[in-house]
Amino acid sequence: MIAAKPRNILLVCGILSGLFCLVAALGLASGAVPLGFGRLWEVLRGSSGSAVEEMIVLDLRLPRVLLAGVVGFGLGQCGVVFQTLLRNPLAEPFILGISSGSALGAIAAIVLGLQFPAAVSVCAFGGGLVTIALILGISQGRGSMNTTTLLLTGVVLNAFFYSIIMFFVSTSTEEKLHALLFWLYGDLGRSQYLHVAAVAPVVILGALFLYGYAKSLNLLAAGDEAAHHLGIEVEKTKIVLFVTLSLITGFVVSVSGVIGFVGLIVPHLVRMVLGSDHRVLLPAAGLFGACFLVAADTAARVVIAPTELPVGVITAFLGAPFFILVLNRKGSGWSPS
Amino acid sequence: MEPVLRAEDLGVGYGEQDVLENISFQVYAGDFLSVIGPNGSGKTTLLRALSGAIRARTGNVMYKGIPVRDYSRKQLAKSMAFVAQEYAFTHPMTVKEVVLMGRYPHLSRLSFEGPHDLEVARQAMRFTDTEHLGDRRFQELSGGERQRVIIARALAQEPEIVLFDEPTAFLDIGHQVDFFDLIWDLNRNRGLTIVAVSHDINLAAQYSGRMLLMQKGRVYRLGTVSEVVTEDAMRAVYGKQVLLDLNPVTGSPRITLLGRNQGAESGAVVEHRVMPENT
Repeated sequence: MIAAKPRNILLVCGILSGLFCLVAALGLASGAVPLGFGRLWEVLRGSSGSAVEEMIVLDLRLPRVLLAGVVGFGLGQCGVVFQTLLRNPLAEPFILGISSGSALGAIAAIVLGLQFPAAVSVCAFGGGLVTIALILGISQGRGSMNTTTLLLTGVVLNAFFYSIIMFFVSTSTEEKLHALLFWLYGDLGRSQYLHVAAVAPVVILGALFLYGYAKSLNLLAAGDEAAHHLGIEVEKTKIVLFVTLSLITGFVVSVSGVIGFVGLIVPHLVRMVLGSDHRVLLPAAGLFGACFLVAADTAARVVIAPTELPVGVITAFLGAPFFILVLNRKGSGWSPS
Repeated sequence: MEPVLRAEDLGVGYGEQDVLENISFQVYAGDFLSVIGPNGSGKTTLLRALSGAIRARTGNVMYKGIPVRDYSRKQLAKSMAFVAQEYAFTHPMTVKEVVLMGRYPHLSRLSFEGPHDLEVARQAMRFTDTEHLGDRRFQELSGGERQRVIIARALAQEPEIVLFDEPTAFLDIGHQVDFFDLIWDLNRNRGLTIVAVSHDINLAAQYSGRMLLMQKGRVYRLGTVSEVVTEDAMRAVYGKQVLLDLNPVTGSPRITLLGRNQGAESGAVVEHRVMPENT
């Protein structure tokens, strides 16, 4: 536990930013062509004299590391807020089916050939928003969701969305097929600076916006009724937050596909060390999420190099056992619901 | 004198059903009003309507002359606190964190608790005897301790009026008395206006200034303790025979409920009764 004071928050952010630089450097150095840190520094400064190495680091690895960072940041924060809003420690965009809802929106945009600007991202956002509306409808505005309802809702929505996705996959032409499959598992292998530029503003502005609600989230964690009496407009706050979350999730999914479990693992680890105050938790989960996904993506690139795994394989491989652990964990301090 | 809180022909309903009808009464600054009545008579609904947590279907709740629904939640929380029966925290939190939540209505969106806020919280904890619990986890406390922490949180709001919803429901009798001592102290020595829903008529009669007896969503009787706690009112509302006497120490009316086979129909009850004029 750590007290939510500006100095402590800056300290935590500083440490985690340092960790991110370290992990990012590791990510830039690793791969089919490994580089030492010294060599990496020369490449980054443009004094390596090797066009090939510069191309590998600056055109292939750097956009990928940056995108992994942005996506991990967004997913980590979304996990924190979902868990508080739904009052359930297992809530997370992937488990709830929101990621696949976003993926379906994105796929529909591609298959239907929608041409308006940022069509894929906008449809992914729409897919996420519709999914959240479905989840809230199923939980019938009870304010809290018990674990069984939550998990079943997620399983059913995932199954439903995947059936539609598979329909699109089965009926699509050869050249579109690869673009579609990309959504089924999270993959950062096609990262470009363009993707980073598209999603980073949403994640950064989203983070600043969410931070404005940090104290409100602390109170919502004390229950809707208590929050109401302590001065929160509960319904309005929840709607604003859910829309923000679908926006972030939608944009993140539109550049990375469905990467599961980041929003589960990251908030829990951070909460264990730093406590539950959202003023610390939100920025810390974002930064640690960034570190986590960059590390996971680096692992995805090197475990069976030169072949690369989709990063979703790594996060699911770690995430599923972690999920069981949280599910069975007694005395985690979360009140049973 | 302008009442602090006023219900004007208040009606509340869920769906088709009317839960409250034609409720009118006033609460003045410094009052200690206990709301009593059988289960389902609408006590908690009334309290929630007073706090603006549920909308009136008819009539109005006026707080300081302004309809309670016209306040922003934050504005209202600066001077009105609400203490509920139960608290469902999802995250583990320390007692200090819980009490500091009471400062939320006084803080702007991005500001942190300053020395003044910490001092207010510390005083609230001192007053409720929870200062020593500051770093403990709220979830690890006993029922009585939690109750005091939640009252400390309410005090940290620096309220003028506090609404209590059956605050002693989960406390043993010793802690129930402690609780009433505490809010009596708040009322008497801090000038706090108190409206408390209570299921314990005797304790409520012992401590409160006025009482509101509810029956089936309406006010059955409103007045001083001895006007409300009478044999006929208790029998009419609870449908049970009661023995009424006076608490020998405080002089407040005291009731004993009598079962079907306990001589309620015989004259024995009347003979045992200690009438106010006999004491």
